[in-house]
Amino acid sequence: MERKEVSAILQDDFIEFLKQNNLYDSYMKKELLCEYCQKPISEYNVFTIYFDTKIKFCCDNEKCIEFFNKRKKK
Amino acid sequence: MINIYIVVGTPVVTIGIGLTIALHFLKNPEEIDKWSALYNKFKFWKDENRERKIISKTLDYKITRIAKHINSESEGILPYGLRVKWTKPDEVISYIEQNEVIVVLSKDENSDKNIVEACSAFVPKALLPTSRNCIDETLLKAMDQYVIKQILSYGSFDSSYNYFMKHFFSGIIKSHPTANLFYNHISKVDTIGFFTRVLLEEFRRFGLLLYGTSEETSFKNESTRFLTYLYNIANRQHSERVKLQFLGEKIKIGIIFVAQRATLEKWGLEAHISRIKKDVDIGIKRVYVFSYAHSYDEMIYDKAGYVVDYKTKKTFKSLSQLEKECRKINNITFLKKQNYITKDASGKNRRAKYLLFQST
Repeated sequence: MERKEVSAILQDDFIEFLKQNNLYDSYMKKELLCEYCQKPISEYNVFTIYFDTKIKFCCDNEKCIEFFNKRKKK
Repeated sequence: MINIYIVVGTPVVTIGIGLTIALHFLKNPEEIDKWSALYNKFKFWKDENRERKIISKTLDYKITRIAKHINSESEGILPYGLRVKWTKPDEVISYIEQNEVIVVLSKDENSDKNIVEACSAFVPKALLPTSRNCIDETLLKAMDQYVIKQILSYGSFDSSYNYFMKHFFSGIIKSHPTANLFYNHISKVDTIGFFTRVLLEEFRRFGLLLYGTSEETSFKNESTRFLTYLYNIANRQHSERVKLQFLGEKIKIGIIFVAQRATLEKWGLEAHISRIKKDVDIGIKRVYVFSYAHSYDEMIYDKAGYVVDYKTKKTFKSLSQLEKECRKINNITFLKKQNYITKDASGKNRRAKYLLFQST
């Protein structure tokens, strides 16, 4: 059976990802926010990362995941 | 003498065992992931990448194994297994620019979020890969959610299943009336075993027919009409007559239910054979013939020739007879047959079998 890949990063790589994408300072200043509830994003509450004109984040709050899934539908 | 046997026998047995194991892994490559996860867990306990390896191998094995099971119901509907690809932070930007959502996985190998997110990212890529542009988007969403739910329920990921129902399912299906309606139709169609064997099988063929052509997106309404047709069959009441042919622009199928044994013995198989011929004559491309196992009594005789007991056997004698007769018809070819377990109208588990014929 052939395999399909799903891109993933580990929580430990999250900080590295932010540094590589010049977002680390914003993270330290707590300026990286969940696109839906506007709470600060950290490696412990990040649910997923996506691109929509810029890099955006969704936290693991159930309401936010619902909104994120609706966005994916469009 | 005994020593000679030991000397000769040991390498033969070792090679035999080795070959059996190698063949098993060749047939089930996802098993390697399972053992690899265990190996990594114990061997590399000091390795900083061990969590990464354990998480991905565990997910790869569990999800691939279930995908393989679903695919076995109709070859090609879920042709891929899962491979979690670790994206390096410096490569991430290029992936995100392609609008790919990146799954953030935690170290905990039993994390509900990991399993659900991996399934949710995997199924829309793996289910009917060449047919997705031909199917109505809302129906596609409902099918994806149904398959994710199946993977989680087959895999006994109880806590992940609950996580999925709470966080994903309610948002995607419950809050969207059309998706909810399609989802309920799919569930009903699946109760009679038609979800993978007819709906997804026909969508797979539908996709193969249109993939890469300018007509690829022109028949989306046909996909929803086809679901409604199958739903009406699944939802029919006892002795209710429903239309058993679907003559769309691209999907053209007929369904035949083989009668109960008593009716068959009275009228013979002629009515079914004639129905298949009529279906082909009106332009139907594929005919699915379904039957439950029929009970036959087998007598047990003693040496003197007296009946001492009888055994009831459930077989598909009539269906085998029908297959034999239909193979003689010139303008149809036999495609496949499959045994499976399904539920009848009363909710009882029944052994069933189907034959698939194609007009030439």
